[in-house]
Amino acid sequence: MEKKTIIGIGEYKAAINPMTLVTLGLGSCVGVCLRDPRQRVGGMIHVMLPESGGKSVTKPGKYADVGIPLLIAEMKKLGASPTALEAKIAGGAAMFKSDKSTMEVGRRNIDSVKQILKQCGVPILSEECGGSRARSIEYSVETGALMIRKVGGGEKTEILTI
Amino acid sequence: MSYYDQIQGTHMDMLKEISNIGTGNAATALSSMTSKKVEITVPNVSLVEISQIPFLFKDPEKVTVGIPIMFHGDLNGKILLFDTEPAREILELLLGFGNEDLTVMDEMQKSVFTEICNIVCGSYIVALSQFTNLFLNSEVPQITVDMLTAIIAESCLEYAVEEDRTILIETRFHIEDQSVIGAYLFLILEPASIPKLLESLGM
Repeated sequence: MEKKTIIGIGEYKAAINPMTLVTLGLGSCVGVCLRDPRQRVGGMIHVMLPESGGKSVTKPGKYADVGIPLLIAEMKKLGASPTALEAKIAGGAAMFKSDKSTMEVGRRNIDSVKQILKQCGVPILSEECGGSRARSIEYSVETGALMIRKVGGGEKTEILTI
Repeated sequence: MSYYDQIQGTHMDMLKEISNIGTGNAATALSSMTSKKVEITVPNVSLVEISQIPFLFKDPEKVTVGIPIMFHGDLNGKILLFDTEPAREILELLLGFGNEDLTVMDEMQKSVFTEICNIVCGSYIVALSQFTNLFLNSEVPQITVDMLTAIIAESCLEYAVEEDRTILIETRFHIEDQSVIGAYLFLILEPASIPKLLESLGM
């Protein structure tokens, strides 16, 4: 049976193959999926906010700047090589058109995630960011395929894989 | 130290009571708009971890109409009104025709929903304000049709900067003749507003 782990908002998880990492309802949040393709070690973080502002935080997974390095460290413990990692990202939507503040958060989350990944030397293979629709994502540690579900026209769920 | 650490059972009961008065008013408003009987459930007050929001609902990816309305003044917070299936029926009731696909609403339909939210949530806010003697002012509601979890998470997001938890006060409306329990109303308060609210109640 396929093993699945659902990651809560502002949480992160590293896992060894076979595992599918899932997170639901990414609005302006960004889902960052990391993987060492050789060691088959994967990880996912549900980033809510771009920066922690240097404060000590109880839930580091909420923030891109502290959460992503922690996820990489966690993956390293499971045998991943930090230099072999690749990333796929999804999210950062602006769900409310008139709401300037949350629109900002989505964009700032994407920017911050990209900047942190660059600092960590992790290349982004593909992304599905922006827009106005929330996304749910499933990341296969085995194949590195990232499946994205979002609400499309006709109230149907659109599914795409990147 | 989190504001939520001070919250005790009696405070939760108080919040439930305020919410009860608010939703009573809201139900009356909804009822007079639709000319249908509207029943409400006893509000459910819970302190939830923001990270656990996706696990609170049976179908977290259900397509819902979310209409958050912000209020400011002595307290800051948000009320969200959701309609699931009955959204279509409400449109039919008020406009005379429904909509097959709620993801593509025209201006008229959007304005029906924002107006419902204005009236229903407005009467909630008025009740809250009168009961606590605090000044509250509501903004124009927004509207989105998307996954349930994403709408709630998005609405808690701005309070997540300082807090990992949030208070969710949930009430359900049941509109007469409708098979499903209709709309939901969620009250989300800014963390800093909670001590002010409790103080206004003499606690």
